[in-house]
Amino acid sequence: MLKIIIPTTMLIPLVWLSKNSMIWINTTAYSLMITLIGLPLLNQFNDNSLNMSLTYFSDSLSTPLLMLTMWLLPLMIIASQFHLIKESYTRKKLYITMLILLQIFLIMTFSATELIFFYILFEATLVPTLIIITRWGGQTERLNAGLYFLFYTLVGSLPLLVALIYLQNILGSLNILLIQHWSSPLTNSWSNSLLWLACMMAFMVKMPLYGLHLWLPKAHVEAPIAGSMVLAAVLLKLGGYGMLRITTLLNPTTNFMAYPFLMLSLWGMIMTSSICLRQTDLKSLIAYSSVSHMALVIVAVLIQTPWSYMGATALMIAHGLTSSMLFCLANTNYERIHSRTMILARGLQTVLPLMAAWWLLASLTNLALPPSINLIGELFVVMSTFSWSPLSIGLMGINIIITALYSLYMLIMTQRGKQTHHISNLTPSYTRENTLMAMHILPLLLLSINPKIILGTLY
Amino acid sequence: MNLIQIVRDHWVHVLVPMGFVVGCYLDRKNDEKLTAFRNKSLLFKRELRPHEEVTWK
Amino acid sequence: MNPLIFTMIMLTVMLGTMIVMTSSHWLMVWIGFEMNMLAIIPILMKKYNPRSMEASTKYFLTQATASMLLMLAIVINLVYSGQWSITKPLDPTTSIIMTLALAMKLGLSPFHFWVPEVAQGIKLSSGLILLTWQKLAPMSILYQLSPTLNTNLLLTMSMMSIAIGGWGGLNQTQLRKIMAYSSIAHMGWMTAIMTYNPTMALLNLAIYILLTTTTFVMFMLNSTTTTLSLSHTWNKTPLLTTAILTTMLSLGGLPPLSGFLPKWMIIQELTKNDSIIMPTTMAITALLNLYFYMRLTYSTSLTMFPSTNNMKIKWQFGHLNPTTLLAPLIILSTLILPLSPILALLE
Repeated sequence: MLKIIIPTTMLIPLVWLSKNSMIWINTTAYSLMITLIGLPLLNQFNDNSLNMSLTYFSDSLSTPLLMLTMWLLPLMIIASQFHLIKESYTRKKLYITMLILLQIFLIMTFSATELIFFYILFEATLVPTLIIITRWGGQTERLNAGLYFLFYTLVGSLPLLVALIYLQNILGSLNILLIQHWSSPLTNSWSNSLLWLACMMAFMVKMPLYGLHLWLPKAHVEAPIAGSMVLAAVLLKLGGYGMLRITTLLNPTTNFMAYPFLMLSLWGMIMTSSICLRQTDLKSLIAYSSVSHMALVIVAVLIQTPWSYMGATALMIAHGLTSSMLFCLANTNYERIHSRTMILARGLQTVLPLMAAWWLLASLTNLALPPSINLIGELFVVMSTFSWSPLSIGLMGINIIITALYSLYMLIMTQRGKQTHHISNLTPSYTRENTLMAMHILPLLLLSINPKIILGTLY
Repeated sequence: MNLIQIVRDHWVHVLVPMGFVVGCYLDRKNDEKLTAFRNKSLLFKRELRPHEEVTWK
Repeated sequence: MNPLIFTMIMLTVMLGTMIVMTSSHWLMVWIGFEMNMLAIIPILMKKYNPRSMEASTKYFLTQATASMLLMLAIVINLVYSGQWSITKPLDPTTSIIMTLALAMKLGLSPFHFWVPEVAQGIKLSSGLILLTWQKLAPMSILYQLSPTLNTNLLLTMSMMSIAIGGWGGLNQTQLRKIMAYSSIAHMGWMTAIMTYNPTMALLNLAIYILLTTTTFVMFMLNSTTTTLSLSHTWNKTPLLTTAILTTMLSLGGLPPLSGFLPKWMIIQELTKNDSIIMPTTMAITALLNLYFYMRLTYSTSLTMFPSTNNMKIKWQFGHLNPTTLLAPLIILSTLILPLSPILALLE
């Protein structure tokens, strides 16, 4: 794993020592190369894990998320170029440094062997994200958004620290690979229920669960483009990853503790997707759609069947790429119109036809149309939920319909209709932006050829 | 003169590959450390070839 | 102040603390405390104005009361046991009075009111001494007494200190008061672990001193005493804004910065002693501290504060106060968490 972490760290001196005109191209090129270094990890040739060392490992669950993280750094760098065009070079370099720092922390989080190491890095990702949101966000509300982001996550995750130390005291180790085999079933007691809550709440806040999600739309709306991308694509997945890892320890408490949370997320995904239907703010709509999609992942993880685990992993990857692409598209609009309000950006199809094609593709993947991996994920999740309780098909069905509705609502609001006068002199889309969209959509489509590599642990 | 100029302009491109090489080296070393006892395990034990050193010392 | 006199006074302050730390005789401990307290008064009044006089009077009164309580405890101990030796375990009554006296000296919660008042009235450099060096002597006595201390009393005081250190700082714009409240909260963390694992309290003290020193040195560089003047840092020393950001987050105990190390260790020790609710409450209450540190970072480094045009050319005339060792202090106060495996040596 060091062969990935050390080159990623070397990106930081690369940024600061490159000539001013070269900072973007150098970092993009080298971070793409680092992604190439990571690709062999996807070849998980047995059901075991690749134990890189005592500190880092990767198995079929963490590798797809690891690849997503590594793939996202060049995309973030490409996407932020216009956002920072007026900043001085020092600040540009600082910004890229923050992105790279976040990347290093995320790689280490996804490949950490010890749960306490995972916890420290899970928290460590807060700092660069906070700086990205509050330093480079657009409006003054970004300060509030940063505080919400930080304190929601910390209040959720400090009990996790205590719970992890407690687990270490009773199990003797927090090594993810070992404790799967060591942990004995928890007894049915109040304190074990509290332990369950302490372990899961941190990740529920991060996902976020409906009711604990208020930080997310704020942070997404206020963050600069790279912040939104990495939040939607990777940071939310930290929650899913953590839940998938820690539920192995919490048997059989999950079986009965899960009910309120299952209800809440089934209800919450309908609520959040209904909220999407009446959004006027483009970024806020995408953020709420993230909450609704993540609710599916929470449901899948809590049901705890092999199929639902596979569905959860696939859905996380799919949603990571899709929502990141939607944020990029929203950002291209924002950079031209200078507003996130959808009504001000209507009729863009006639002005930016190629962009309209990307919008169409992104909306279709968001509502999980066949050749995309979103479909695979949602199909697995919906089927396993159905076999858990046939009644859930009602809620799931409504959610899928509303998802389709708001995806089309977003597409129609931005692309169709009469164009307004103030958008007649927009700059055409840059090759950079088209490349960016293509780099999002290609993995989404190509992975559906061989979805095995993103299904996580195959049972 | 020209060459020096090129080196001065583009030496930063060494950084990331260098990081990769160092990382690979450290990974290899660590692998060797972790597998040092493989000849002692019942599962992977084999006859040592003549003049072959034991992996643990 | 005459440099010779200043040196004399500083040496006396240090000598007082040293005597407290090293002596095994209760009378010498008391004398050490008195020497230290009397010698620090001129340092607190280094800048001679009514405010600093008020501050040093307040400091004198509280410390004298605490010393008297300490003397009382010593005498009771003498009556009960007939000896002056510090190594002899105390009986419960004595230990409670002793704890109260030391808590007053440290500024633990029911006796914390003097800390922000005194810190606000004095110079930054004196404040640095007040909030770091002055904690050493009482902590060393607490450390030596740790087996016989009353756990319930200490834990109550520590929980209150953590909460009050958090709540009190929320409404402040004065940096010295904020640092004083931060000190109260950190003292709470130290005393919480004192009866379980005093070594962790020392670790926390060391890291607290490191962080506070770094913060004060950074404030001293620009003679900053309010949030407003801190928000002008970017005009004079732009690089320092980054350092203030990381140090503040470290002071708030955010991983992966070094401020997380003592919090982590203390939570671990408390959890090992089957205490679950308390460390959770402590950690969450400590978020209040993080909130006001966050506000400082917001005004310093994460936003460009509005300022008049005159302020923007301040860097031209800017005369920076000389600082010693700022760079290593910053590095130590942010980046030593990866060294935590070394702590295995302590066991």
